[in-house]
Amino acid sequence: MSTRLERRIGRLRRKLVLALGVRVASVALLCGGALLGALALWLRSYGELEERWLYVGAALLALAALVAGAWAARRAPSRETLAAWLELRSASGGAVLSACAFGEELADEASARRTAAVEDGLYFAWGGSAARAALGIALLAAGALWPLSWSAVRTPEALLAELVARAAERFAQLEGNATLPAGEREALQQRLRELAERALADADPAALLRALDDLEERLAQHAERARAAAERALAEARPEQDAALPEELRSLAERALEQARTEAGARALAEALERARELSEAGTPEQRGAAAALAERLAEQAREAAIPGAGELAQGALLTPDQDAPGAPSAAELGGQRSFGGESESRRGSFAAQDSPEGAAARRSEGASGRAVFEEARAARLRRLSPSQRRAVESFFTGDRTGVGR
Amino acid sequence: MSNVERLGPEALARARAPLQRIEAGLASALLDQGPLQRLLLAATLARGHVLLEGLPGLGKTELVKALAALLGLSFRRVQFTPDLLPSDLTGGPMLEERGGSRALRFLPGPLFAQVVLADEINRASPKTQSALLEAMQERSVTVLGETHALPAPFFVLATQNPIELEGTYPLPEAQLDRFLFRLIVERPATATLERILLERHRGERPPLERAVDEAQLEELFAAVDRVFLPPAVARWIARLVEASHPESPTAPELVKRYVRHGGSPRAAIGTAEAARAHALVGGRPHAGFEDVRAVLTPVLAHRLVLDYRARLDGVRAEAIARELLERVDEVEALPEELRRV
Repeated sequence: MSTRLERRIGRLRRKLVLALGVRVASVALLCGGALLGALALWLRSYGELEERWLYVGAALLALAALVAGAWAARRAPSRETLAAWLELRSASGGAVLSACAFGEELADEASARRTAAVEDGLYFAWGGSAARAALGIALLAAGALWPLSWSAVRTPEALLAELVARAAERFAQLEGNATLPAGEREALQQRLRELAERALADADPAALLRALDDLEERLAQHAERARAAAERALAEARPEQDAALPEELRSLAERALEQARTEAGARALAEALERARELSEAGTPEQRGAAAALAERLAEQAREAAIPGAGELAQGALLTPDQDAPGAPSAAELGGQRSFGGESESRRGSFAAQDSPEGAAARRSEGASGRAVFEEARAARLRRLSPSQRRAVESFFTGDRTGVGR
Repeated sequence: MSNVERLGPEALARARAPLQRIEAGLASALLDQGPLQRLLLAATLARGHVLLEGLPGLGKTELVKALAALLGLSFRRVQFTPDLLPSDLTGGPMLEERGGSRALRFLPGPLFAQVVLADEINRASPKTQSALLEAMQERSVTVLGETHALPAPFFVLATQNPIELEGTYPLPEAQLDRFLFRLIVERPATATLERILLERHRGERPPLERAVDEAQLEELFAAVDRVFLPPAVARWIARLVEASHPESPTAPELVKRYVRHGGSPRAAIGTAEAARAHALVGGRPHAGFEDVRAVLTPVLAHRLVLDYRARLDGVRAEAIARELLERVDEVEALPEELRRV
C-alpha cells in the first residue's frame, strides 16, 4: 500500500519519462523524417521505391520511438532522487525524505501542501519538441507524397515512353473506329513499331521526338477527317430517324449530345445509350430502327468525346440491330457510318463489304492485331521502366493523372 | 530504513521547551544576532568547539558567558598571551605536604571547566595552542604520563582577533580542524546599537537564569543523535566536501583557483552533526538540505587551506564555501528538464 507521497513521486517520474521521451523522439523524428523523406523522394524519382521500403521506413521510425522511450525510462532519475528533488523544491526541511525513508505519510500539513503545489506546478519546457516532431513527420510525408510532376522530375526515357504510348493509343483508337484506310493503317502500324523499337533501343531522343511529332501529326489529321465525316453522316440521318423516337429518349439524347464534352454529359450519354439499347430490343419496329440509328449516333459521339466505357456500351447496341426494323441502318449504311466514309466510293465500298458478320469479325481481328502491337510495344517498354516510371505511363493510359509520380 | 531510534513527537516536544528558553536567553544577551545565536546553540548541542572571530567589543565573551550561564555549566576564561605555557592551561603537579609527607598532587588548570573561553587564542605560542589539541579531541589532558578526564560536557569557545597580526600565531590546520564552527561575529546594526544604549546600563547584560538542568541537557544531546539524517542529505554533504578539493572533478572554479586543501572527513562528520543539531533547534526530527545550507559555511570555511592567490585577490574562505553551496547541486544526476524547473 503506497502512500500519497509515494504515488506523487511515481506520477512525477512518469511525467518526467514522458517529457524525456517526447524530447528524444522529436529529435529522432526530425532526423529520421528528413533522412527517410529525402531517401523516399530520391528513390521515387530515380530508382525503385517499392511499397516494402515504406514499411521499412515506418518500422525504423517506430524503432526510434521505442529506443527513445527506453532511453527516457533509463535516463529518468530514481524515485529516491525524485524524492530528494521534491524535498528540495518544497523546502520541507527533510520531511519528505524522512517520510519516504520510513514509508509514512507527510505528518506536517504545510509540507504536504507544498509538495502538492510543486507537483501541480510542474511544467516542462518542451523546447520546441512538438514542432520538431511535426516537422519530422511533415518531411517524411512530403518525401513520400510529393507529386513528382510538380517538381518536373521526369527522365527522358519516361517521357519518350509516354509519347510512344500516346501515339499508340491514338492509333489504336483510330483503328478501333475503323477509320483508317488499310494501306495507311499498315504504314502507320509499321511506323509505330519502328518508333517503339527505337525507344526501346535508347536511340537519339531528339530524333525520336521529331519522328513522334510527325507520327502524331499524321494521326491527328486522320482523326480530324474522321470527325468531319461523322458529323456529315449524322446531319444527314438525323431528321427522319428522330421522328420515330419516344420523346424521353430524344430529349435525353439531345441533352447528352449538347453536353457530351463535359463529365455530366458523358454520364448522360452513357445513360442515353443504355436506354436506346433497351428500346432497340423491346420497342415497336419503328422505334427499334430509330433507336438503333440513334445508338449509332450516340456511339459516334461517345467515341468523339473519348468517354471511357461509353464506346463499349454503344458497340453492344450497334452489334445487335434489328435489321428488319424500318429505319434501321442497313449493314452497308452501318459500315459507311462506322467508317465515317466520304473519302471515296471505293473506300466506302471496301468498308461496307467488311460489314458482313465475317467482315465485322475480320475487322475486330485486325483491330485486335493493332491493339496487340500497341500492347506489345507498351508492355515491352514498361518492362524496362522503373516502378515509378511504369506507374507514370500506366496512369497516362488509365487517364488517372493523380497517379503520375507515385 | 534506519536502525537508529527516531525522534518521536513526544521527545521532540520535550526538547522544544528548554531550547526555546536557551534561545530567548541568548537573544537577551546579544541583541539581534539570531543566526549567530542559533548556530552557537547548534554547535553546543552537537558537542562541538567554536571559534568566534570578530573585532574587539562585539560581545563575543558575553555571548559565551551567557551560554554557560544558561546551560548551567562551569565556566573558565583564559586570556591567551605569547608567554602562556601549556601547564597554565592543563594544570600541573604541585608538591603538597600532607600528614608529614610530601606528595605530588595534580592541580587542575583552567581547562577543567565545562565551558572554556580561550580569549584571543591566536596570541599564544603554537606549543600552548597544541596543548589544547588533546583536550579538544579526547576531552582529557595528560600530564606527566597521567591522563585526566575533563568534565563532561566540555566545550572550548575560542575567540580571535582578525586584524591584529603583530605578535599572533595563526592556528595550525590540525588545531583549526578541531573546531566544529568558526563563527564570524558581525558588528551590530545602528538600530541594535541604539537598543543597547537604551536598554543596557554600562553595556551590562541582564542576569540570566539557568535554562536547563543537567538531565535536560543530556536529553537534548540524546535527541540530537536521534534526529534522522536522510541519505540524500548525507550524499550532498559528502559531495560538498569532495568538491572542496581542487583536484576533484566536481570542484567549482573558485576552489580550483584558490584552495590548496579542501575539507577533511572530520568536516563532513561535523557538517552532518551540526545539521542534525540545527534541525533540532528548528524543531524538526529530521535534517534537511536547509540545515546543511545553514551550517556548511561555519563548518567548512576555517578548514579550507587557501592559496596565496586568495590573499592577493582578497578571496575569503566563506566566499568559497558559499560558492560550493551554489555550484554543487543538492540532488545529483538530475536531468536538465528538472534542473531548469
